[in-house]
Amino acid sequence: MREYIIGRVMQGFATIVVVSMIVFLLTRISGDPTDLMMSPQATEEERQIFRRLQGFDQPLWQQYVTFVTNAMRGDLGKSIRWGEPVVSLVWQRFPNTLQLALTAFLIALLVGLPVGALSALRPNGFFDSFGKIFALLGQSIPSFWLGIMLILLLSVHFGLLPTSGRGGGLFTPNGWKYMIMPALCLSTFSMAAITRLTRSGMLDVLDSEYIKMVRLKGASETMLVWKHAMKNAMIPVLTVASLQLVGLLNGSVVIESVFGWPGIGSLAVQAIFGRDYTVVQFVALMTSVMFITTNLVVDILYAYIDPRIRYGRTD
Amino acid sequence: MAVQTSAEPLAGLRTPRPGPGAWFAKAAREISHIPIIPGTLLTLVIIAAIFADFLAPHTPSAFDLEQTFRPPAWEADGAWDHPLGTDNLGRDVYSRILHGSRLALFVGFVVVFIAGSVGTTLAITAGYMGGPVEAIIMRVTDAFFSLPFLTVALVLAAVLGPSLPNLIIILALGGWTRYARVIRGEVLRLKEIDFVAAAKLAGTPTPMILFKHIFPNVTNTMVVLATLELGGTIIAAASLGFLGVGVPQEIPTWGGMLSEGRPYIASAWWIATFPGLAITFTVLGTNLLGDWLRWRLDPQFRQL
Repeated sequence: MREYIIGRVMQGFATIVVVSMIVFLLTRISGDPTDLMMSPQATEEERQIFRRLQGFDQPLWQQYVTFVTNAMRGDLGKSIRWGEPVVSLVWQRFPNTLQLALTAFLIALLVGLPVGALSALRPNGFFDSFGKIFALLGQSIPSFWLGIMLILLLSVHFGLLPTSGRGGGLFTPNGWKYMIMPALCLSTFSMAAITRLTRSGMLDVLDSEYIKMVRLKGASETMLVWKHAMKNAMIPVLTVASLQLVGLLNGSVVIESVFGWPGIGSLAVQAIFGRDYTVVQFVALMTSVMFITTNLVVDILYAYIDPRIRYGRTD
Repeated sequence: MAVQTSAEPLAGLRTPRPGPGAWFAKAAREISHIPIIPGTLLTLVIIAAIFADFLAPHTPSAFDLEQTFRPPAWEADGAWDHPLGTDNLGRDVYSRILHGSRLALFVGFVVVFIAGSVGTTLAITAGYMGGPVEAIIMRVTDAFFSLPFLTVALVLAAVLGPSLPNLIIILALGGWTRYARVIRGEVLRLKEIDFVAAAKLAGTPTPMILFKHIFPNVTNTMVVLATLELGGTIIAAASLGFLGVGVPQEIPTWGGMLSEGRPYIASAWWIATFPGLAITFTVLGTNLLGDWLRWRLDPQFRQL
């Protein structure tokens, strides 16, 4: 077990190193980033000063070493536009994105789990067909278009919900209204994925020997489905779901732009168009590290639960 | 069974090499099995893409400032001259959607092809070689997989500038990891099977084993993945277009149309609505096709 954990942590660490290289290279891909980050009106003298200040005149490997050593100290550069350290800039916005992602995740679970489970009870029945169409649409509709359509219907036509912004916050009297549409749009894809996974997991479990055993022992159908079967069908679902949650932080880039949600997604978009690449580098790095860490934790927890993983191959 | 009397005793058992005619017949038979809904949806989109020049009543980029914000034909103010209305510059929405299908399909297919080739090659190499080669390839794969794709794509699009080849490179960079992860698993399983060991014993050179024994056994998975990724690629391309990066603005794209129509959503709902429907129907078609292919080619996944 210890060997497995050490191996897995090393893998995660190696992946983070590769990610840091990719993120570092993002702005160096077109050569000298000075031209990218400065406005076209800047004079040659200003460019030279900027180049020296940012260290762009040094060899590439040296710039990377500086980037990594600074990052280890928690210094990921300053935003060129706001003049503030990117870490604090992103940190201010992060709770908003997290709130949105968590709400979307909750919606996806609350809808996906029961719809998937009920679909599996009568394969190809009425509810299953409904569930299939529902999951298929969830994976086919572009979320940002769904957002625009919801704005058209709920805000413009019926005037029920505000079109964009965050309001006073989730827990203020009217704040929750601002959350509904963005969270719903963000959740569609995960909702569809969770529905499909729950359905196939339930189909597997309902077919297994131990469920037949429970049935033979005379357990009620309700107990059988919602306690015994659901508990076992949940394991693969939760594995995927945990990664979906991190994926939602990433998917919020477009949704935040549609609804003017003040999170890290819309910050990244603003930063890209404002040539403020240090901000985007940090956002990308942070999301990746969160994803890798979550993956690592899930894998290790999994190894605790399932000894086959501990002693078998690590793939 | 009759006694073999011909000179070559096994002649009757050998199947003739299928000619191009047989291949064509097989392809036609396979196509005829495609279920009706994805078949119809995709045929319509492909026809739109190929014959856009003939089907479109107007030039997609021609603007007419006297004809701005005309509603679709069935609305009170509409006329059949502009079946789906016109946008803020008086351009015909229907013609632009037809032409937009070209870019969507072209980008989708090319990206899926490049990403599939790269991902599969890396997966086969990693899975078969093992050792440090595998470790390096898989860490790079994990790294790319963990990066927030849209954010990175936005940066690259902004740095590299808007152009079709750039868009394709960016989308392919985000797309190959799934093939690498899934197909590597298959290769690990395949290389333990006897026929690979037999080929190795017979002295078959490694590239030959990879190409003739491993690759043909992962093509089904590759095709299923590619079909399922096609829809995601089209949505990703539209997302970039919606955020205002990707291809130059002169080229009509569904994502670009959505972002142009968004400010007028309250007064001219049709500009942003129809391109979104086009995306949804196309992606619905590819997703349904992918599910069906998976069901047909991969018995393991019949339940999904």
